[in-house]
Amino acid sequence: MTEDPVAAARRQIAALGPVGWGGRALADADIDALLRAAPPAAIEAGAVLSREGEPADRAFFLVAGRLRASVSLGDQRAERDRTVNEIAAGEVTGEAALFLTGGRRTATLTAIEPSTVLVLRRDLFLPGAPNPAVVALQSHILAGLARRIERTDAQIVEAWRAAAGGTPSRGGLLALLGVTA
Amino acid sequence: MTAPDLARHAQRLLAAHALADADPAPLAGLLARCAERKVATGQFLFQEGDPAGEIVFLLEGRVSVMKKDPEGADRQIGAWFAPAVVGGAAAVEGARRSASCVAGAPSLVAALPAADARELLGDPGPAGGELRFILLAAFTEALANTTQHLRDLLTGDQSTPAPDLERLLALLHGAKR
Repeated sequence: MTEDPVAAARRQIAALGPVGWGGRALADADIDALLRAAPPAAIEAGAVLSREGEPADRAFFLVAGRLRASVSLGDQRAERDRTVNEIAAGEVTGEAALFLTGGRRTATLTAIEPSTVLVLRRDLFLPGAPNPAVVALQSHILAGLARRIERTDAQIVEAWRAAAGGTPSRGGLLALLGVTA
Repeated sequence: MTAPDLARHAQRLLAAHALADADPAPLAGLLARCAERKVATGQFLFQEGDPAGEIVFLLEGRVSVMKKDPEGADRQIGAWFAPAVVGGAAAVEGARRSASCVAGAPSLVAALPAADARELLGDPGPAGGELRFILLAAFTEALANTTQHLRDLLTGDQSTPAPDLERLLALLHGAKR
């Protein structure tokens, strides 16, 4: 049986805590406040959440299901698009929309199974709105980005040293895109 | 630094991270808690492989990012210009420095111990909020620039010159597109 979207959202948000100096668990009221600001949305399998090249004005916290991120490789190529990442429940994707301005989507996001997301908008994250659940979500995003930067750096260096002045493979570049996109 | 100096540096850091309208007072208070250092040209802020013990706010000047190349020689692969946050990802992760940073001009930095930064990052107060947002903006910009360059390499003309991995590293380490 599919989990109720609100219950799934509550469970994933609660799993982000604890936060703050005292390391306290998130209170129900904190979770409720986040859910009011970013209500859970059910997405059918196959539905597209955002398309590559569109203006980026929101991010998605996937609380249930699975998403696919794909990029177009151009019309002239035999392989026109390529899956570069799969997003699992508990992950945030499209976060550049929250912290940069004027950006565009670098990948198309498609649900590959029935999914539930919280749609996150920039104003939720501006300083001055100290909801501990939002703090926990920000910390979760921050840790994920820091890990991606470290991993990307390590992979580029590995490719750089392997190539040692030669040309890195196209497969190597696609693998890198899977980390950064 | 005087209070007006702190407020000015805080305002510049916020504006550089898509928060031009934010109140600079909380971040100015955070900068006041940092260790202030004047760094001469050629002096290292930290070296590749060191434990990341602090987050460095570059308030004035510029720093070069150096990395060992495939032959083991130091190679400049990027640069940060004030105002900027330098070496934040390793400090947040509790990792070792993935590159060295050396002053490319007389510079002024404010260093926040990584342990203090990690505590502050969980704080719902205004200083924690501004620090989180600045780091989030810096990290997303670095990754977005790197992703876009990779996309350009993969979707560009097949006759494009060989992909430049050093350029990718530069984008990840502060270069602007």
